[in-house]
Amino acid sequence: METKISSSWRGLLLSLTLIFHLGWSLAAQNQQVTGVVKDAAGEPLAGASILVEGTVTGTQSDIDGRFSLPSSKGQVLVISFIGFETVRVPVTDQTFYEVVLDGDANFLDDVVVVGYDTQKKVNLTGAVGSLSSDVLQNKPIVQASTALQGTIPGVTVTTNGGGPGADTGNIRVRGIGTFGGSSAAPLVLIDGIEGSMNSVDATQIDKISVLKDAASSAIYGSRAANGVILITTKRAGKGRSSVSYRGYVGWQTPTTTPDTVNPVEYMILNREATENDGATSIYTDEYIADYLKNNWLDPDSFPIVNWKEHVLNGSGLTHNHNLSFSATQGKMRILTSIGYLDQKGIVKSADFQRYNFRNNINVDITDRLALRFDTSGSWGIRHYSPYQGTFFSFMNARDPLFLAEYSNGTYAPFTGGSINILPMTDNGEGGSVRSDALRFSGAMALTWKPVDWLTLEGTAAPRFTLSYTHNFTDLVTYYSDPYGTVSPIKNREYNSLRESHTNDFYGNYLFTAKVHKQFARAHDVSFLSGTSYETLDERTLSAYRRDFAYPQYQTINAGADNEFKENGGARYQWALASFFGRFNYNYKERYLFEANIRFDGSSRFAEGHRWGRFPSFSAAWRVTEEPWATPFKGVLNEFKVRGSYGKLGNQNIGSDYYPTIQTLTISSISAAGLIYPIVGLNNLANEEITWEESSMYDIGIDATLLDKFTLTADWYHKTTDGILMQLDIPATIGLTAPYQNAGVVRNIGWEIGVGYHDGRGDFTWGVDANLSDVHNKIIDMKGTASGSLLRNEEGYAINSIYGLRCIGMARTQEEADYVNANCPQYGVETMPGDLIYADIAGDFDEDGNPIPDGKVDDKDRVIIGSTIPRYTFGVTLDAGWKGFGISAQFQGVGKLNAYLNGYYTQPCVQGGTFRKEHLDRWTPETPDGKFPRLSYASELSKKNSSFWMADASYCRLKNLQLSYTLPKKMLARTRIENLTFFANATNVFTLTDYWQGYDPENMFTTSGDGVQAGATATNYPLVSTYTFGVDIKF
Amino acid sequence: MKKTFLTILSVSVLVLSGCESMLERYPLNGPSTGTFPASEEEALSGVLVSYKNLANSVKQYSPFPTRFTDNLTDIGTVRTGLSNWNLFVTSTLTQTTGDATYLYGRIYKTVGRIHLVLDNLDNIKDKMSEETYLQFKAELLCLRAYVYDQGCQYYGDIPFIDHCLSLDDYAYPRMSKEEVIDRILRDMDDTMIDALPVRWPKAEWGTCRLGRAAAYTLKARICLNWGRYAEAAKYAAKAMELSEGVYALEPLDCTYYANDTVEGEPSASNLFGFAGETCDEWMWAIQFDRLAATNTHSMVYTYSSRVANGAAGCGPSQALMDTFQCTDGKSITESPLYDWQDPWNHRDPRLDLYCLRPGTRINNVQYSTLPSVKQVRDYNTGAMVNNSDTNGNKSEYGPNGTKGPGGYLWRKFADKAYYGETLTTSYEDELDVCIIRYAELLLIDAEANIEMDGGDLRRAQNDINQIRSRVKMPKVTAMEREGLRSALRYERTVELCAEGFRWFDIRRWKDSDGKTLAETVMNGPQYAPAFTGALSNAKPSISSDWTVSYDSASTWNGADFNLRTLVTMYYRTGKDELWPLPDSEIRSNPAINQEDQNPGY
Repeated sequence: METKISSSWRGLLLSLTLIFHLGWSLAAQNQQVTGVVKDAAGEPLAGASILVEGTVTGTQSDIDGRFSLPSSKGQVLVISFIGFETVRVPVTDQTFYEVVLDGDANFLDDVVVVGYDTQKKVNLTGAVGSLSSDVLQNKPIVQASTALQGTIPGVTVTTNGGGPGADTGNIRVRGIGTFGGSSAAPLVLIDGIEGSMNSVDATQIDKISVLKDAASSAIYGSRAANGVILITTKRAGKGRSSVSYRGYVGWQTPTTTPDTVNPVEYMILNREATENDGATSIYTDEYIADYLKNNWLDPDSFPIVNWKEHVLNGSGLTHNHNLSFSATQGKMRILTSIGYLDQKGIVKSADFQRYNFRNNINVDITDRLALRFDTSGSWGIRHYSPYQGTFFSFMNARDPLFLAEYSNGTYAPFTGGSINILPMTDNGEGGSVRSDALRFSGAMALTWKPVDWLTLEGTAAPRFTLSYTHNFTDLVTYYSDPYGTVSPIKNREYNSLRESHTNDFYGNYLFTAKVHKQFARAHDVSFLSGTSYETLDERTLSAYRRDFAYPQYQTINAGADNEFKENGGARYQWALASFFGRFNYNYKERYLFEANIRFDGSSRFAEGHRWGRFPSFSAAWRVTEEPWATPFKGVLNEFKVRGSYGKLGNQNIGSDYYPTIQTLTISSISAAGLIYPIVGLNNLANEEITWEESSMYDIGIDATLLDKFTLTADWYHKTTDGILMQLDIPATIGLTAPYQNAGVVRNIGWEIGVGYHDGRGDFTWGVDANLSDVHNKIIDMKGTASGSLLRNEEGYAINSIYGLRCIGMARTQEEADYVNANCPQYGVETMPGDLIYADIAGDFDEDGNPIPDGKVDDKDRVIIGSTIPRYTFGVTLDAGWKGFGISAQFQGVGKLNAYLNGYYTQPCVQGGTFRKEHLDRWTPETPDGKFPRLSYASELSKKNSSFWMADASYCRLKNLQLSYTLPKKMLARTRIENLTFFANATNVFTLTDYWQGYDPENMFTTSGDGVQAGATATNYPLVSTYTFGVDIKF
Repeated sequence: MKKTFLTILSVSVLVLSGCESMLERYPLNGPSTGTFPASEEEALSGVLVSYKNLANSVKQYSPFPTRFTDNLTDIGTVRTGLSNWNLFVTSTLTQTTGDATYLYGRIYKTVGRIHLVLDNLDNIKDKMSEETYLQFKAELLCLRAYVYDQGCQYYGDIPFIDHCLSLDDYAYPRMSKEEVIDRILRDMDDTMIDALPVRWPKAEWGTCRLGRAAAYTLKARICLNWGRYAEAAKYAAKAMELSEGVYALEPLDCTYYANDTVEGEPSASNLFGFAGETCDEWMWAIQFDRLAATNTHSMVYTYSSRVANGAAGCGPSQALMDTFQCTDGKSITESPLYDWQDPWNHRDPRLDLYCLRPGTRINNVQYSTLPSVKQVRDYNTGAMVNNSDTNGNKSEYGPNGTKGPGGYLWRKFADKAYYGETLTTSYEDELDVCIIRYAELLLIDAEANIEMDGGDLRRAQNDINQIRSRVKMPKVTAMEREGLRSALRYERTVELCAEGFRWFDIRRWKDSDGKTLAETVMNGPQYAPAFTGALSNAKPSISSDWTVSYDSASTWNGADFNLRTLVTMYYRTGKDELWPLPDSEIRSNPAINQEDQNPGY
């Protein structure tokens, strides 16, 4: 084998060989010892290290697990292998030793799930992040998507809000690869079947793998451009049968809520603003004094409302139960798991229940034929008020002076657009929305091994999803006078019910053939090929009626059978056919090589543009497997260098199933009260569109030191080409722009994960930390730019923040005069206390460089910030002592901008109140105030600018967990195998400079693939959860 | 092994070729383009979709720009802070202001729908009668002319598109507005228009489709807009001739106005409300109906007072209120009948029919902007109700008259049928929007005859007096051109207020110095009554063009000027004649560059 080593290593080798010989000569070599190393299942282990203790004599087991080395009686052989517990065998007279290594508890995830297969972690050539069930254990995770937060380098999770049943995370793997029409969400496969991560109960998850680079995910071709998440659910082991229960109970509170001014402060600030606008305010000092006095005597004329109190009236109680039965009998293994979750909101009207089951069966029909039969189902029921968004808008931004409730308890109407939410928050009036999601999926797989080296597997995995929304909007009665019922007013003209059903059938048929063979005990070759066919058939049906005489009967039939009833229905389909193959080769697990290819054909594209080809290559060198490295294996257990290149596709183009076909829209027009059908064309179609393609390079290392330190680091370069964009077309065409393969986005990033685990005596401790960064840049948008606040523009990151650059505030009249004379802003007079913006552009020179034009207007807007999280990190600290465990997970973002405007953060916006911090504003007396002068009329300081942009970087104690497992001794007399109590707190505290009262994690609402700034202030707040639970196994 | 591999390969190739059919999926929810329209029925639905698109031109405070633009002139006001409408009167529009560029896209959307039928109409000519063929063609070409005329008014030169465009065919430069107008007037060929019925059967089509009389009126209107007075007079005469016995002025009830409003409610809803939809004054209207999908607007909500469950979004300015003549036909500064402390008495009845002022009622509920009036009477029930126009809940506007834009609102489109309806922003209004009514035809005829050389001035005088007589205003006696021009400008300002004509009228009309009226009236403060609700003591000066201006030193009682400034308007000559072309058009249309943008943007 030495013959293959290049000359540059020769010197090093020579010295190593000398050391070997020295060792040999020093030891008493009176016998040659031979043996075989196997794992618990009896499979031979190749590459295990065998050392004679106290010497440098050592060798490695070969491909059949066999070894041979000189030793003498009384010496001890130390047999170790990464991922297994080290075994010490004293040398006796015996000359042959059979050594069985048990899996090491620290390396349970030694085998990771990869596309259509599993792979030893050490033999991976691509960048794969993995997570085992112990990380998910004992955390009150409601939505499995949030479990990934802060645990895997390069994976970012953002949460949209804490609403029960709606608290899902948005997962992005290695930045955002696309924008415009396509989805940037990774592909999620549950036991190989595409699905939603949140339909799985976190306690049923055994392992999660995240395929990050192109090499690992190319086998999923057209849908892998944004990464692939593989979830494996728990199955019954080959041990004894068991029953286990895990449950917790806890409560939730909002992480933070905004501090707004009290009524007096409100009136003073309102008066100041009105007077700044040259008008007279009714809030004179006498009026305010009167108000405060009379609020007690005559609250109907002088009302004060505490919105927070009215809105945050829910208990937030959460409890979750999971019961699982695992049985093994002969050739059958069954794991049945049932779960129940009940989550109450921090607002009374919101709650969520989820029931789920999973039944995983394995049958070994013969030695060569095995059957896997899995069924699972989940039913989620979510309730919320149709006015929920308004609740939070009022809580966050409305002033306290509304006449909302009379002293006798009746509610007052708000005229115009606003709705008095008190009856809705207090009594749940106004109707409710119930949304049900019912999912059933099954997987039947037959595995046949006709010969040792060949495995054939066929799988049919259909899934049926039914979602149902029941939206009943009821009438609410208000009274325009406090006493009596003279003039009741309804919030709307009629009550109404809209029910909509969507059912979809997703068919998934898969066939794979795997060949695995070894040659000459050194060359390990495996080959996988497969084909799959997926179909989706979706039907929607909806019905609407209004004028329910008896609102307690909430079915369509109970509504009035009048001209306002409506119905609708539609059907959509797509299909995807694929062929794929993988070739793996390794030489003594030292030099590893892998190649993948996938062909995908999608019904979404027209013939001729339908098929995509996605190849990938990767290679790795396990330096520590070199024979000359054996002496260092005690220190440097593992060191691997990896490199990969691959191409991936994206077919998730918006919600359009037929983007290449021009369809006419059928609608109607009325004339003289009659309805006539009309047919119109709205969209331009483009037959030419095809897959978005990403190509990615990745270089990485994996290392393990002293069995305690682990390190994994990656650098990658990913370019997504042909991004589907609705490029602006001239309005003169008269149709909506079609998608075109036009954009190019580049993501360059690095990620690093380190771990340290050690113990002494009964103490164990460990640290896992990860840090990653991604630099996102739009390379090409065909010269266009889109978005006025969140902007996509060439040369900048996707969804950058666009606005004026604020360079200060006119503190004095002189400063204001200077601005008006030299650089007038938006054609209006800048007053002392107004913001001053940078004059950047007006005209452009030949090279396209901006020339300041001596005035500030919309042309001076530039990119001022980025909404792509950079330097995302996670740190988990854990320690244990005699069954006690403590674990703390910190997580955060190092660099991020966010924009929240309107009355959520700005003073004097129509409909809003003031925040406490607005008290520190510019006035002639306080020219150094932080916020601009108050004015309802002037828009100058409210323009989108860097002044209102906030730094949304943060670090938070995401999770803190205490647990205690009873000692086995105590349980010996019982039938209990394991008993653990745990207490957990999430989102315990947060360090951030973001706007007070708003959670930096809850800053954007996703809409398709873009993000909307600002809208989030009406989102359900993120919550902190405090739980207590028990885990018991019989 | 090799053999096995080859077998697998060949099977794969076989399966692959079969796959194409496994991947065919077609839309299941409706037809796709190709040979549309294929029949007379399909052509009709294509013609109707072009009409429907006019309704889709509704923008937020709809219908926009039809009607709403009057609030962006000297005679109308918009509540402070309501969207960005103040950009329109302060010369601060830019090419990214969506409200100003919205219409541009809507015009070409309608044009595109027209061409979808028009391009294919000749192919199916044999599938319908010659008459039907000509009718479809006439309707489509007239609609196209209507939107292009609108385009030239707001944007000046615009690309003239006359067929369906595609991704390979879209680079069209701006065409001079004179040429566009030439083209559309040529399109509205007389022989083709003559194929249209004078009026489409009322029971079947209401006022939805363009008839012959309306088409000629449209043609006359376009001619008038662009100073082709002789042609305007010709087509107006033709339209009037066709209208005889078909269209007529709808009588207005002037019983309740001035101080009589305590007894009852002034209302012009028989003309502008739901009843108006079937009256003989309407010649062409955009249809709205809750029964048809997405076919509603929110105008009534936006225009109504808060006691009528509206949003008090816009209304007349103090200047318009002061424009209304006294019953002797003289201006308030000249008439002995005017008393500033009793200003609503002895005035043109249209003041109360078209405008809502404090002291009258709306939907039978008392309207008051006096902060001291906490409760007002609901005459429907007799009960006192909370005066939401001044009191209480929308505290962000302050508990006084600041809720409305200036203390006055539009009454023109108020209809008691909306009483008790909780209007919301969610587009629930279904009142049709009249585009052409007979009164406008009379005013086109009058103006054309006044402005053209050798026009029939007596005819013009008669046109104007027909409209004045309806509201019992004294007849115009002037016979000379200047006097009639002044009378015409008063009549058009007052009669057509809030109907979307003013924005262009003040850019078209010139004063005696040759300056457009806009240059004068769109500069300086726009006034509204004080928060206290005190009557205006401002003594204005009123020009012969019936534009109103104020001098803060001039008051009726010599006391301090008591009006409050709502907004300070600013008009830049050389810029504000037009709105900007959309930013996106400049970026995406290779034939239109930034240099081609309208001046000043």
